[in-house]
Amino acid sequence: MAPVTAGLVGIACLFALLILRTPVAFAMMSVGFFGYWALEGLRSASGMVLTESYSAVSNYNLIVVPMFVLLGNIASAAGFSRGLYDAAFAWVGRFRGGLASASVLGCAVFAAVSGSSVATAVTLGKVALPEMKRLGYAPSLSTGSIAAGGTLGFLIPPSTGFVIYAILTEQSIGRLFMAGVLPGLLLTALFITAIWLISVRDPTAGPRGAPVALAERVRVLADAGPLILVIFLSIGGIYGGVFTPVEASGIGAALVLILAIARRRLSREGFRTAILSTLATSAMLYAIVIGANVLNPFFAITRIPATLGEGLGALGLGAYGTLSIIILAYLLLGMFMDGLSMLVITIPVVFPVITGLGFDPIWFGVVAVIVIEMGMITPPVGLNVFVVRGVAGDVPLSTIFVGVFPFLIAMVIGLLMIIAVPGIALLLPNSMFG
Amino acid sequence: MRSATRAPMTWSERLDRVTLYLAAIGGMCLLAILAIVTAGVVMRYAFSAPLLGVNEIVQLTAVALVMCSLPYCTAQSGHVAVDVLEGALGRWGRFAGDILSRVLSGFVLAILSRRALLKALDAWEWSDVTNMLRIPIWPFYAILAAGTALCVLIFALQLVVLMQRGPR
Repeated sequence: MAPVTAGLVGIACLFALLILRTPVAFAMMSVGFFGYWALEGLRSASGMVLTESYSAVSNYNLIVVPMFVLLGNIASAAGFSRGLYDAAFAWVGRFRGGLASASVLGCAVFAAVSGSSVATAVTLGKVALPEMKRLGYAPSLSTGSIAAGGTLGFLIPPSTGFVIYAILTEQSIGRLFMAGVLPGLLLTALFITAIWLISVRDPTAGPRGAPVALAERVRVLADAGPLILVIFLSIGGIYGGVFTPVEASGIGAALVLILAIARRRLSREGFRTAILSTLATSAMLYAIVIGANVLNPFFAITRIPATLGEGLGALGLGAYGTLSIIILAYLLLGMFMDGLSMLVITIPVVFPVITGLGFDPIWFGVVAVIVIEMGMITPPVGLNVFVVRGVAGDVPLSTIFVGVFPFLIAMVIGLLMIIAVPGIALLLPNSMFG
Repeated sequence: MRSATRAPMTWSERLDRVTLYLAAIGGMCLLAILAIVTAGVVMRYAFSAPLLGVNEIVQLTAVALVMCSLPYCTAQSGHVAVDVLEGALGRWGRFAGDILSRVLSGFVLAILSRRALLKALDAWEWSDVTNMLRIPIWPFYAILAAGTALCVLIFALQLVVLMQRGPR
C-alpha cells in the first residue's frame, strides 16, 4: 500500500473509531500502531510504541500537567474560589450585570490556577449560579457567563492546551503561557462588555447588586490576596525567568497546599478527592499524549501533512485564506469533538502547514486554543454548556446555548483582533525572551 | 465475625481495589515530585546549592506516577471519548464499538507491555543507568510493563462484563 493511501485509510479508521466511542488516546494509539505495522513491519511498530510511550511518560516538561491540575484541585477543594468570587463581586457587583461580571472575573483569576475550562466552569458555577439565581438574573445570562467564563481556563496560563501544544510542536511552554495572558485579559474584557450590553438592553436580565463599602471591599480582596499572590509568584516567576514552567507549577502547588493547610480549609476527604482527581486527569492527559506520540510517526512516514500542505498551497488561497479554512475546520470539528482531542489529532497535520505559510507557531497556539474554546460552548457538544447545565440543574440546555451566543460573538471579535494584531499574543513572550 | 457476613468480593471489585492501591502509590509519587521540585528551587535560591539530577528524579518518578494512575483512570472509565453520535449508533452499534475499542486498546497495550518487559530485562542485563545519578532504568520499564498489563486486564474484565450484559 502506498504511504499516502495508508495515511488516508488511517485517518478514516481514526474517525470511525472515534465515532464508535473508542477513547481518543487509544484510537490514536491503535491507528498509529497498526498503520506503522502495515508500512514498516511488526518489529518496528512495537519498538516505536515503546519508545514513544516511554518518551511521553518520562517527559520532564509534561510534569507541569499534574502539578497545575493538583494546584487547581487543591484550590477548589479548599474553597478558595469562593474568596475570589466574593472579591470580584465586592468590586464590580454594583454595576449592571455585576454578578455575571464578577463570575467572569472570578473565572479569569481561577483560570490562573487551573488549566481546565471544565474545572473553572464547575468551580465558579457552584459559587456564582445560586447567587445570580437569588438576585433574579436571567438564567441565559447567568449560565452563559459561567460557560463562557470557564473557557478562560484553557487560555489563561497555566493552560493544559498550551502544554499539550508545546509538547506536540516542540515549542516553549513558558512562551506559550505568556502568549495566553493578554488574549485572556482581552477576552475577559470582551465578556464583561457583552454582559454590560445585555444588561443595558434588558435591565431585568442582570440587576445591580448592593454596593459594598470600600473598607469591606479591601477586606475581601485581602482575604483572596494569598491566592492572588501565588498566581503572581508562579506566572510572574516564569515571566521574570525566576522559574521554569515546571518549577512554577511545583512552587504554585506547594504554596496552595501550604495555604490550604495553614488556613484549615482542607479536610482529609477533600485532600484525598483532590489527589485522586489529579491522578485520573493526569493519566487521561498522559494517555492522550502517548496516543499522539504514537500516531505522529505514522503520519510522518505517510507524508500526509506535507501532501495536505501542497494541496492547500495549490488552491492559491494565500496564507490568510488557508488559515481561514483551517479555523473553519477547527470550528466544525469543535462542534463534535472534545477540544483537547481535536488539538492532538489535528496539530501533527496542521502545524507544518501553518509554519510553512510563515505564521508564528506561538501565535498560532493562541489562535488554536481560542478556536477550541469556542468549540466548548457551541452546540451540539459544547462541553462547558453541559457542565454548567449539570451545576445549574434546572436550566434547559437551549437556554444556556442562547445565553452563550453573545459571548461567542465576543470570542469571534477577540479572535479577529488577535489575527489582525498578532502582537496581542506575542508582546509578552517577545519581551520576555526577546 | 464481621468478615463472615461480608459478601465475597467479585473480580471486578478486587481489580478496583488493586487500582486504588496503585493510585495511592501514584499519589505518593505526585507529592514526591512536588517536594523535589520545590526543594530544588528553595535550595537554589535560599542556599545557593542547586540539587543535582532533579530532572532525572522527576522524569523517573513521573513514569511511576503515570503508570500507577493509568489503571485507576481506565477502571474509572476516565478516558475522553467522543460520544456525540452515541444515540445514532443504536444499541448494536454501541455494543460493537465498546467491544472493538477494548479489543484494539487491549491488544496495543499488550504489545507495549511485552516490549516494555523485554526492555526491562535487557536494561537489567546490561545494567543500563541514567546519565547523571546512575539510577538503574530497568525498574521503570518494569513499572511501565506492569501498569499497561493491568490496563489490559481491566479491558479484558470490561469485555467479559459487556459480553454478559449484551447490547443496551
